[in-house]
Amino acid sequence: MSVVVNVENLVKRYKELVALDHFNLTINEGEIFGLLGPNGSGKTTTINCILSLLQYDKGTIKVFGEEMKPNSYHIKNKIGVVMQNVAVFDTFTVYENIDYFCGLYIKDKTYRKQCVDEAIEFTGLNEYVKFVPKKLSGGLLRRLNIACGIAHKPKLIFFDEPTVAVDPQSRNRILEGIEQLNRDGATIIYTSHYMEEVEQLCSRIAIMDRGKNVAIGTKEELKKMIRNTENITIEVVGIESIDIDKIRQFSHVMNVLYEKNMLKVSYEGGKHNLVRVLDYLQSRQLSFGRVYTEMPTLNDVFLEITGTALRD
Amino acid sequence: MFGHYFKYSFKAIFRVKEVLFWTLVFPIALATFMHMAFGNIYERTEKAHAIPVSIIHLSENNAFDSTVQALSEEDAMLNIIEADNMDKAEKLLREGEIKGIFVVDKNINLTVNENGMDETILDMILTSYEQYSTVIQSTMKNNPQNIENVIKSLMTDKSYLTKEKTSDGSFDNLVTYFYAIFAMSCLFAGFSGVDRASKMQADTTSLGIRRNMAPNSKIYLIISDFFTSLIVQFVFEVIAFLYMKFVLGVDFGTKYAAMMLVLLMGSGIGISMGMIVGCVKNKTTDTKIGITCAISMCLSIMADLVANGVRNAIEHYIPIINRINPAALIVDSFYALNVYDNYDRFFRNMTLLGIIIFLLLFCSFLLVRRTRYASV
Repeated sequence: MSVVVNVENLVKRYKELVALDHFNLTINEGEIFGLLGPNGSGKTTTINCILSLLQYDKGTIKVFGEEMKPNSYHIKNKIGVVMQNVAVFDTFTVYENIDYFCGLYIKDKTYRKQCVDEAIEFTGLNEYVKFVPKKLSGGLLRRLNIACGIAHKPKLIFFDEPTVAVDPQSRNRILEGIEQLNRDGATIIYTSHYMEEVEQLCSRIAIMDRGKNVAIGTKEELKKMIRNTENITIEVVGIESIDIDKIRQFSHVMNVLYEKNMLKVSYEGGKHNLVRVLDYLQSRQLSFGRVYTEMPTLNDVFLEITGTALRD
Repeated sequence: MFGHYFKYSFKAIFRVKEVLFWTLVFPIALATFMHMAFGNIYERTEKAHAIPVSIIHLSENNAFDSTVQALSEEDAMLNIIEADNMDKAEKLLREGEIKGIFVVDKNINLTVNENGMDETILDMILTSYEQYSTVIQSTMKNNPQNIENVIKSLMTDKSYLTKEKTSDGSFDNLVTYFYAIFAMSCLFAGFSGVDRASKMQADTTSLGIRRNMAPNSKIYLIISDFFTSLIVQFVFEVIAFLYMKFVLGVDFGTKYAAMMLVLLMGSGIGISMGMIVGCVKNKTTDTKIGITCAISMCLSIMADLVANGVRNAIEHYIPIINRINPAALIVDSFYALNVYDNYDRFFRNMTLLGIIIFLLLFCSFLLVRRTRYASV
């Protein structure tokens, strides 16, 4: 498996602010790689540096094994970009927009038409080809944004928070599309601050915080990096603080929270944790309703590694 | 690749209503208003015409009658309005139907109602007649054998100036305002240039990011954007020109091909000026539009858009400004075509415009080529 993107020791400063602090990253061919981090963590800065749009202070960036420069046209030819903000011409129709951007990469008219038609089909914009962007809903605009970025069939595609302000139906469609592009052979770099999306989509994930790469690996690898192994949530009414303190003293319990009649117990290892908690509640004659137990999520990973919630 | 850029650049320009307004509708509207306000001011105030005058005879004066008759026939300097008596003539004078009354008696008196150019001319006619008359009478009395030579001498109109026709153009000062409208509308093409350049800047628009990621040299983008904008702007200028000439009846002269070249170069200077403003980093598109508007207005004002004479004053005190002010060069090119029979001054202006366009485009290219931004 060859390396598609290699970033070493990247430093980017905005005056006093260090946006990227000796940042390292390696992305392999065929991956859907997630860059996860809160707003301002340096995700978009990283992408812009890789794309050679942004000056950086230190470090090296290689794409497809070659140093990336503003005039690396043969590399740019293999890259697609779907930016955070919708980047289309307001005055062009859906078809014209896709054709325009595709035409920047593909000269052959017949092949270009085929690519444009496929991009329209792929994003489900068939019924809207003659619409101008202002006539489209937010979800359709995002799909147009994607179509413009992928119509030329790039080998490496950057998705920078493509689902911001998108309804659930459109979001699912976009995520399915990205998976399809990956199955078709494209390497994907996906940034988001939506944990669930990254967890659903990405084969490897880097967690960024304050311009640093604080953790990198598969979902499973990341989850193994933290102490939290299980989260139990029980709907229970009228539990008292003495009971919460008792549960907190159980072995392997990391943390106990009680909010809005929901008791949340986080465990660090241990076995039969759920049974122990339920036994205790029964012994105290506390009635309980819904019961959930789940493995730690990326949110837990992020919370434990960075000490802050992701959606701050 | 150029074909693709051109096709979409055309579409992009024609669909931006603001650009269409400022570069096509506004100049036509301004020219129309200007024509409505000042349209026949030259005809009324400056152009030579026959001065309406009445003659009241209280006694016979054949010599004066002959003189007046001659002046009302050849080149029609005077237009004799019949008046039976002094009261009727004075009424005509009060009503502005005539500019003066010659009362022919023992002496000839001129009555006028106001001080103006026409009244001055009437006074000069009378003064000249009296001088000639005195000379002839004096010669007949003192030296009658020489009268023939004296009359011959008086009839020979001596002038130390030679009148030379330099062109078929109009000398109407108002035409300068229309030249300035062209200069202004050409510079307003800068809005189109700003729009095009901003969409190349990754730190200004998302479109800029996407276009920066295209695997093509920026020179393709700049040249295609420049030439498509140029063609469209030139067509707009020609439409405005035809409107002013055939609808408003503005007399631009007959050197149409050269005038088209001025409009083409003017369009080029406007777009390239807009492009270099658009290429300035770390400014929003709106700010750049504002800067372009301010520059265009200042340059146009210095080229006589608001008041006639500013350009001449600059020419007198700091002529270099007129050599580098595109609006002044455009206005001066029209002026040179209209007034001069040769093309020396016109070609000097065209050369200067060409150099400025090249420099602006070259600087735009340097600003955007291989650019990596401080922030995006």
